[in-house]
Amino acid sequence: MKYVVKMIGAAAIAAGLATGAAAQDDYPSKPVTWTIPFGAGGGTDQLARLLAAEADRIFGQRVSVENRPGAGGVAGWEYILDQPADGYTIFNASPTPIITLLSESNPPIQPTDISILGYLTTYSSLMVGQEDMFPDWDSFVATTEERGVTIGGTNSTLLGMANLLDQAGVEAVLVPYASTGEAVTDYLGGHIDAAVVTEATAMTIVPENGRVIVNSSSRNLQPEIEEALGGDVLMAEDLGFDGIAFPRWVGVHPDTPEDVQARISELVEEVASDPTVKEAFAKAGSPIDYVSREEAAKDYSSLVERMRSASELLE
Amino acid sequence: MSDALYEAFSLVFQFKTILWLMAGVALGVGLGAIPGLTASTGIALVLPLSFTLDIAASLGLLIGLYKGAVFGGSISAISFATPGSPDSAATVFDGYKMTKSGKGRKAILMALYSSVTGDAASDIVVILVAPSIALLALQFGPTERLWLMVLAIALLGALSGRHLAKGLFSAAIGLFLGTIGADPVSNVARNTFGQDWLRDGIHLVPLVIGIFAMSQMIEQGLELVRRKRVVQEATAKLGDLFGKNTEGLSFREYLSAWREMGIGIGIGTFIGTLPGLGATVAAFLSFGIAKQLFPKKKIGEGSIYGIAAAEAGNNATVGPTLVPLLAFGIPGSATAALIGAALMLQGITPSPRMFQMYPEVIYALFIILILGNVFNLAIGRFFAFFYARLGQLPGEILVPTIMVMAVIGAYAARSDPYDVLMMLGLAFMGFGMRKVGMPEAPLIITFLIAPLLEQNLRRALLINRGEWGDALFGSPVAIGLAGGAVLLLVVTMRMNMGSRLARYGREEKEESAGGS
Repeated sequence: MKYVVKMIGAAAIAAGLATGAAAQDDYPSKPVTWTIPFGAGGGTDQLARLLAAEADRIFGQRVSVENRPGAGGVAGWEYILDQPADGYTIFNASPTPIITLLSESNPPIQPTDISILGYLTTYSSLMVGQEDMFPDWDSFVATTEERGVTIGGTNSTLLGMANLLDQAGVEAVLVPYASTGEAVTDYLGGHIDAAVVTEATAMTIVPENGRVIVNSSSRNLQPEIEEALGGDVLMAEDLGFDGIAFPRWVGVHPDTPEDVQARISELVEEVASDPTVKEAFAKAGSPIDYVSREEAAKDYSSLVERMRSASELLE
Repeated sequence: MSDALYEAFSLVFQFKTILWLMAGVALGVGLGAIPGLTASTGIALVLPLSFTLDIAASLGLLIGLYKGAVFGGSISAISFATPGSPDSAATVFDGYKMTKSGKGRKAILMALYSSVTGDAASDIVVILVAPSIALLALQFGPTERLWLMVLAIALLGALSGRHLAKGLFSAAIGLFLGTIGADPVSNVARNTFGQDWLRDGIHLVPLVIGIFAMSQMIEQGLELVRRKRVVQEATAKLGDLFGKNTEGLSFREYLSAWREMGIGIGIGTFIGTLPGLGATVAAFLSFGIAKQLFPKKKIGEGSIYGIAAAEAGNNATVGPTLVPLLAFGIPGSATAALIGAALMLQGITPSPRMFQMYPEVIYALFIILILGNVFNLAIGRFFAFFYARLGQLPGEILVPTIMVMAVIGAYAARSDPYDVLMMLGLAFMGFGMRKVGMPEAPLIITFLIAPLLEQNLRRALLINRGEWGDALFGSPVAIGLAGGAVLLLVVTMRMNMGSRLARYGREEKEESAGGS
C-alpha cells in the first residue's frame, strides 16, 4: 500500500515537472474526458459513443463521453474553457454552437476560442426537390424567378444553402424547422417545394420521392453515397461558387501546450483510421472523412467567416 | 411474403432475442420510473450495446425499453406524484389522489392495463394500416398542425377546473415560460433576461418535476412539520404496507374504462404519427377530452378513468412513432431516430425501400412490437406491486426521499445544474399556485403547445408569404379543424353553464350514465 502511495506521489511529481517532450510521451497518463455540448441521443452523441468505445484501446486510458448540453451548445464550450488546459478534456462538436454564437449579438465567447485538432466527418447540405418540378438547376433558378419557392430545413442545412443561393443571386423563401423529420414530412406532403438535408437523409428520399438539385458543400461526396444519390451530383463548385461543408470537429482549450495538442491530434487521427471505428461510423450513416489538424484549422477560420455572412442572410 | 414471415418468426423466437426483449422491458420500466430518465435517454445509453447484438435482439432490447419506459413513468407519477417522464404528468392528477386514499395498487394496475391495451391496439393499427396513416399524416402541414394545436388549447376549458379565470392565468404563465429561449425562426434569444443558460429554453423535465412532484412535497413537508406526529398512524400505515389488503383492480372496472381507453388509442395513434408532438401531448389531450366528455366520472379527482385515458394515450404513441420511419425512412421523434440509428448500425438504412429489401426485418419488428406488450404486462405487474407498497410508506420517510429523487431527476435529464435551480424555483411557484387553487394542467398544456403553435404559424406564414388567409385556411382539413375548435369552445362553454346551473339547482342526484 505504501509503495502504491509512493508511486502515485512520484507520478504526480513527474507529471508536475514534466515539460516539453516528456509531456508528449506521457500523454495520456490519466483518463480522458470526451466532452460533447449536447444531450444523450443526438447525432454527435451517437458518434461520440461509438468512437469512445474504441478510443480506450488507442489512447491506452479510459476515454469517457461527457454530455454538457445547454445554451445551444455554448455551455459545453464555455465549460471546456474553464477546464485546465492540459488536454484531458477534449471537445467534440458540430456547427451548432458556432451558429449559436453567430446569432448572438453579444456572445460570451468567440467561435475562434478553440484550438482545432481535426475533423472526424463532415456533412453536406443538399437540396432535394421533385424531379418533374426541378429537373435541373436552371429550372430551379427559373422557377424562383417566377414565384417564391419554399425551401425547408434545419438551421445548419439552411445556412449552407443560403450561402450558395446568395452567391447565385437566387431569392427563395427559407423555412426553418426544429427537426429534419418535420421538414422532410412537410416536403413529402407537398407543403414546401424543396428540403435541404444532409446526405444521410437525402439517401432516404432519393430516388422515390425526389432528386438532389444541388449540393452546397465544398467537399465531394463519398463515391458510394454519390452513387446512391443517382450519381453526378451538382456541386457548388461546378456552378463557380464557394461551398460550406459542416464538420464534426475535435478541439481543445487554446492554451493547451503545443506538444500535447500534437499528441492528441495524432491519437485522434489513429482513432479515426481505426477499422472498427470506421465501420461503426459508416454504418451510422456518417462515414469517417478525417481532415488533419493543419488542414482543419485552416478550413475552420474560413468556415466561421462564411457561416457568419450566411447567418446574416437568414435573419 | 410467407418466407419472410417464417424467417421473421425464427429471428424473434430465439432464446437470445426473447431474453433481450425481457431485459429491455425490465430496464425500461425501471428507468421510466426514475424521474428524469426518459425512453430516449435509456435508448441512447444502450445504443452502443445494441451494436454488438444481432438485428432481432437489438430491436427487442430497444423496443422493449421504449414500451417499458413509457409505462414506467406512470408508476412514480402514481406512487410519488413524480412523473418518471413528462408523458406521465397527466397521470399524476388522478393517480396520486388514489395513492393518498390508499388505492395506489388499483391505480397502478389501471395504468398498466390501459398502457398495454393502448399500446397493443395502436400496434395492430400500425401493422394493418401503416401506409395509410402515414399518408394521412402527410396532409398535416404547418397550417393543419397549427389548428390541431388550437384544438388542444381549446380543451383548456375542460382542464381548468371550476374557475376559468384561474385556469387562464395558469395558461398565461405556461405561455410565457414556453417563449423563453431561442426564437424558432431566427434563432435569436428571447425572454432570457440576458442569461445565456436560458437560451435553450426551459426543459420539460425540470418543469414537470418542479410543478408536480416538488411542489406537492413542499406542501406535504410543511403539513408534516405542522402536524403532531401521531405514532399510531405511522405504524398503522407500515402494517398496511406488509399486509395484503390493498385493493386491486377488478376485470369489470378495467372493462368499464373502455371509452377512455378508446379515446387514448385514437388520439395517441394519430398524435404518434405526426412528427414533433409526442406522448406528453397525447396524454394530456386524451385526459382533457375524456374529462370533457364524461363530467360525471370525476376525472381529475382520483378516478381510474383519468388514468385510463392518459396512459392509453401516451403508450398508444409508441408504435405509431415508427410509422414515418417505416413508411418514409424519416424518424418522427427522438426515440424513433435512435431506433432508426440502431437499424442503420445493423446495415439497414430506413427508407421507403425497406419493405421490399428487408421484409423479414419489418415483420420481426412487428412481432416484437406485439410481443413487447406481453412482457410489459408481466414485468409491469411485478413493479406495480412493489412500488404501490413504497407509495404507502409514512410521510416522514417518503417526503424527503421524493425530494431527493426530484433533485436527481431534474439534474439527470440533461446533466445541467441550472435545471435543478429551475426545478426548485418552479416548485415554489407550483406550491403558490396550489395554495390559491390554480390548476397546473393549463400551464403544462400551453408550455408544450404554444411553442409548437408559434413555429407552425410562422412557418405557415413564411410559406404563404405573409398571407394570413392562406396561412390559416389554405386547405379543407384546416377549415375542418378550425370548425372543430370553434365547436369545442361552444360545447365547453355550454357544458360549464349547464353544470353550474345543475350545481345551483339540484344539489345531488345524477342520472346514471356511465357509472363511476
